[in-house]
Order: sequence, then structure tokens, then C-alpha cells
Amino acid sequence: MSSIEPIILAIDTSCDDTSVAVLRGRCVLASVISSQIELHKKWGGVVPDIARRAHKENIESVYQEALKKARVSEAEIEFIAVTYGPGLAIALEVGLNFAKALAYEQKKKFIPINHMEGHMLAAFILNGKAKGSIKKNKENELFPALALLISGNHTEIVYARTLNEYEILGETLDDAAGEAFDKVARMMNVGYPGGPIITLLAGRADKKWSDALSGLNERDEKKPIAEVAGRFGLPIPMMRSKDLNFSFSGLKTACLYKMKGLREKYKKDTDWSYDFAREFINAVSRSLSVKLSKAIKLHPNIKSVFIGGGVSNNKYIVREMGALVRKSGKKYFIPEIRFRSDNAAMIGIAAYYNIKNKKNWLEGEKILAVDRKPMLRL
Amino acid sequence: MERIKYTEKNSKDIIDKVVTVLKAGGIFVFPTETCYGIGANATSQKSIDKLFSYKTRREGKPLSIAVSGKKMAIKYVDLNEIADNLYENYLPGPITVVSRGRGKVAKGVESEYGTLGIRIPDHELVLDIIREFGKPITATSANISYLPKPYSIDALLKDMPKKNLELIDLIIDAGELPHREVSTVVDTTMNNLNIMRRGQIDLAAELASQKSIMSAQTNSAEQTSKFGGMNMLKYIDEPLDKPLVFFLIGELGTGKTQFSKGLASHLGIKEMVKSPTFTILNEYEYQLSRRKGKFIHVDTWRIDSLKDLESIGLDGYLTAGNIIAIEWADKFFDDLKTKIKISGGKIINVVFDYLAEDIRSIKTYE
Repeated sequence: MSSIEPIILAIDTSCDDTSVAVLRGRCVLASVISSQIELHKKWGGVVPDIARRAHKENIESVYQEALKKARVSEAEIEFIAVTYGPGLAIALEVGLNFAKALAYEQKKKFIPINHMEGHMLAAFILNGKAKGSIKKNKENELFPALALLISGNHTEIVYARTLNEYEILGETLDDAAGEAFDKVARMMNVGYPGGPIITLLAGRADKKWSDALSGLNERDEKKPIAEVAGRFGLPIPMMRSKDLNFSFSGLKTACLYKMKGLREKYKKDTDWSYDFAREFINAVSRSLSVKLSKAIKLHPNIKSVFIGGGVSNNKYIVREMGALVRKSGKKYFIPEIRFRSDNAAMIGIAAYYNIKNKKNWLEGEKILAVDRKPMLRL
Repeated sequence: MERIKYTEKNSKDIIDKVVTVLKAGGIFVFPTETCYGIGANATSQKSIDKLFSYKTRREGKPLSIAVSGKKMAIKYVDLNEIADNLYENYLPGPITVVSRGRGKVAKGVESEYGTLGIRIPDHELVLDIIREFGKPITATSANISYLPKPYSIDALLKDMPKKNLELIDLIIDAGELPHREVSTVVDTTMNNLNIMRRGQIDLAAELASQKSIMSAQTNSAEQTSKFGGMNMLKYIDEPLDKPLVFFLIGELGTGKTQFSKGLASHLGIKEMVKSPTFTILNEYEYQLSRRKGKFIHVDTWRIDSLKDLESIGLDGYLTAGNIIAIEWADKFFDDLKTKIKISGGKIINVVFDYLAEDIRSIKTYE
């Protein structure tokens, strides 16, 4: 590779957003997400047929918009990177086919990327002015590292020996953290998606929550906040399990059960729902922090901890993870807000390190043989 | 363009001026509990067209509207149980509630899927304006598309092209607004199980009138999973020339995924079988003595029609040797049943009921 940083076009259509980004090396020149253009972030969850149609309709214009914003011509693009899994099969297909055709016809180098590697490395993205939390050529000093990846489809703790070598240490046995938010929101009758609305309601919780949290540092670390402020007794999932796996289906069931009682008890009054939302977030957050803390203790050699995925937009969860990691003395990294949820810039940054460290791109006929992998693992 | 400073004393005067602007098809900038918004009569095509020219928005992107209360909202959207809960308990406030629209607003306000986002701003002046005007106004942020959300009029007007500025008829300046986040959008049209599963009570009754093949009361996730394994054991000798389909019927959190784990485990699948809610369909390979094929784990929770299930390729999996478990199969019970009958497949109905926090009743019917 020449000393001039390569121009990378990156595409992600793994779920409901059509995203295209252009990077020069680590710097993002443009990152366009279809739902940002629309007023409504979602037009109704992920309805597969609509998702495919929307991706098909969007991708050309999102691509053109990204080129325009990046002020880059098609000819200047050297690499084309695209998510080939995991995700919704028919949604993945649209982005993959678009990228394959583009790369093949225009004789570009092609790199299929694992969506989760994107979340893993999103904190490495530099903005258009080459600013970011991780300095150039300092990347290797941050490894080995741990990552906590939390989204609608995943809840994983990953050990990264180097920038490109990953091992899943623990994962959810059933529902993902983001899915738990969606399902509990459905039980609470507050709509979809669940994360933002539950977080909004939690913001109206009783003051005792912030009081309890401000006193947290002085308290016994093992004592869950639920004992201080939780009146519903929601369980902290997998508190006592020895491994690094997660499980949110038990919490979901507990929520359903408690809520039935609350509805009967309070009838018209729904003020309980604010504290309930807060306690639910706490249970999810504690479950994540207990396992992350355990992982850090089991891997004392790590230098840093990365957080990624859409659920890392939750301010309560981020606060708890940040405090935990800082207390452990490890470096803590979280992507810029716009790169936490699904986006193509993170696919671009993953491609950048694949190019730099592994030189594993494809060319010519080999591009056409790449197939989608909806259940791909890291 | 007129710019008025808002003091609580001049609200009457402001309301009169705004209503005049709205009636004439004009657009105006107003404060909300989040950022500044741009208002137009949501029912007038002329006003909305003017708003679109101002926003320089691409066509096909919906707008949200502000109403004065639930009573006004009902005229423009169908409220279901979820929307009703939000209107009754959580509004006014920074929440945009998306419901199915009734086509009573100007073209371009509803989304192309016929949904409409409604907000009740927690701002007395705005509510008074809407009450006085008697119709909803648009509640989109006042910035031109692609520019940042404005929290002060100076920020809004800075570098605004003259042609956009000239379209604004009136600005209500309430000074610098607190930098609160924009409203949270929630969709209530998704997974409206009560409507979709209208026939569910009949279905449960119909199944219950039959004699169950197997039944269990489980009191842990492990037991539910084990019962799944027992079901698989019972049906594993079904002929190989047709697919075997489990319809898993039960509320959230009653053990459908745990049961599926048991099915998979009995088939010798080593991969972790997780909830397919997000990916809708998960595919695993299995081989058990002479039986070999795919185990397909489907969750219809996030989808609205049989057509969507077809679009993820369900038909292609209805082939010999495949074992398919469908969570929330009751959402499209009759259609699915017909489809599977045509493929020659065998259907096993599994009904999950919730008895107490840790106790489930699970019954298997053919």
C-alpha cells in the first residue's frame, strides 16, 4: 500500500438502515444513513419486504449523497467494503449485490466485512478533520483488549488479541439486550423501538435513583442498586453464573409478571412505570457490568475496553460501563454517538485495518462468489 | 417577514397573528419544549407545499404534526391500545407517536406507508395556537434539511439563503431555548397483536377442544427446553419426505424460544440457538442418524403479513427433511396452515400458557 491513505467506500444494509460511508484511511469523509434523511427514524420496525424495498430504493441515492458529501469521484475509490453478515438475509443481499456489482464492473478491490467487527472498531474512526480519541499509529498499544458489543441482535464480550484477532468470551443465551428493551416496551404498551422511550421514561423516575447512584462509589460494589432504589425486585440476570454469558429472557418474564400485578394495583395511575423503566435499565446495566467486570479480572493483561452497538447509546448503561472500566485502570473507548448504532463508517474502519494488517481483499471473479452470511460470527 | 419577541403577556396578540398567517397558507417559526419548529396548516396542500419549498426536503419523507390533545388526534389517526396509553399517560411531552393515518392531512405529511407521527408539545403557547386554529400544524424542526436543529432564532437565521428566508411569514422569538434533545419517536403500528390475532381466542378454544398429545407444567427454562426435546423425540420418526412444522403459540416470555432450544438440542445442533426476533429466520444444519436437513427457527414478532414471511424465503424451506419452528405462528394461523398443507407438511401446534411467575403449561396438539 502506498503511503497515501486509501479511499474506501463502505456499505451496510444489515438491518433497517441503508448506510454508505466514504473514508480516507481512518478519516470519515462522509457517512450517510437513510433514516437520518427521513424524519421518522423508523417507519415501522423491520418488515422484511418493506426493508428490502426500502434498501433497494435508497441505496443508489444514499451512495450518490455520500460521494457528493465526501467530494470524491467514483474513480478515486480504491476499495469497496460491505457487510456480508450477520443480519437480516434479504437486507444484507441488497447491499452486498450493489457492492459486488460496483466493485466488479469498476475493477475495485473488494472486502467483505463482519458487521460485528465494525462495532468492535468504531471507536477508531477519525472525523473529517482527522480528530478522534485514538491517535494515529498508537492503535497497537491498546491491545490486547476487551469489547462489550450490545445491540438489538447481539450481546457479546469479545477478547481481541490484536486489531484483527477476535474470540467471543461470552454471549447471550437467548435474547439480546436491545431485544429485551423492545419486548419490555411492548409489555409496557409504549411502542417501538423500546430503547429510547424506556430511557425517556426512566428519566422521570423518582429522585431516589439519582441519590442512590451518587452514593454508589462508597457502597459495596456487590450490592446492587436495586436493593437501594428498586421497589419491584427485578432480578439482575446471570448474577451468579460463573461464565461470561448473558441471558435476558428471565428478566423479560419477570417484567411481564411484575407488570401484571402493577396494572391491577394502580389501575389508571402509571407513575410506577417511570421507576419500573429505571429499574429495568438498571437490571440490564448491572448484568452487563457484572460480566464485563468478571472478564476484566480474568484477563488482567488487557490494556483497554471498547464499547459498541446501538444499546451503548443508553446514557445510564454507558455511565455504568465507563465508571467500571475507569475504576479497573484500563483505557475506556466508546465511539462517537453517530457511530454507535449501525452505520457504514464502522464497516469502512474495519476494512481499513483489514487492508493494512491482512491485505485480504478480493479482485475480479472472486468478488462475485461472495455470499451473504446472516448468522456470521466474529 | 415579521419577528415578534414572546413574553407571556403578549401571547394573545401572538396567537391572533399566527392564526392569520395559518389561514392565509403561511408558515411560521415557533418555540417548543425541544428546539424551534416550523408550523404550517397540516391540512392545507398549499401550506405544506410552501413548507416543503422552505425545508428543501426530498419528496416522500413524512412530517410530524402537533395537535392540542387526544381528541384532535383521533380525527387524524387510528389510536390503538399502545397509542392510547401514550396519549393518556405520557403526553404532552417530547414524544412523537406514530399511528396509522386516516388520510385527512395534506399530501406528503403522512409517510408513504400511511403512517403519521403526532406530537403534543409541552408548551402552553403552541397548544393555545392549535386550540385557537382548531387544526393540527406541522411540528418539524425549523432548520432547512441537513442543517442542525435550532435552539435560538439567531442560530436559525445564520447563513440562511435569502430564498428560504423569504418564505417565512412570522417568527416567534422566545430567546435561547434549553438544549433538550429532539423528541423520541415511537411507532405504535408495529405488532398490534390485538388486531392481528383477533381469531386467537377462537384458535385457543378450538385447539383446547381437542385432546392434547403431550402436556407438561414446567417451572424453569431448562424444563421448558427439555419438554421441547421430548416433543422432538416423539416426532423424529415422521416420514422424511415432508417438512415438520411446529407452531409455537403463546404470549411474550412464555418459553417459545426455550422450547425451540430443546428441539434443536435433540437434533444434535451444537450452535447456540438464540431468539430469532431480530433476524426473523435462523437456519441450522442437523443430522440425526438417517434424518438430515435444516432446522429453521422463525419469529414473526416483528412482521405484519404472510407476504413478509414469504419474502424471507419461508416457502423455500418447506421441503423434505426440514424441521421448522415458528414463534407467533398464530398471527397468520390460517394462511400458514394452508401453505404448509399444500407443501404436504405436518403441523404440530404447541400452546404455551402462563400460570405463575415460573410456571408454564405447555400443550402439544396435532
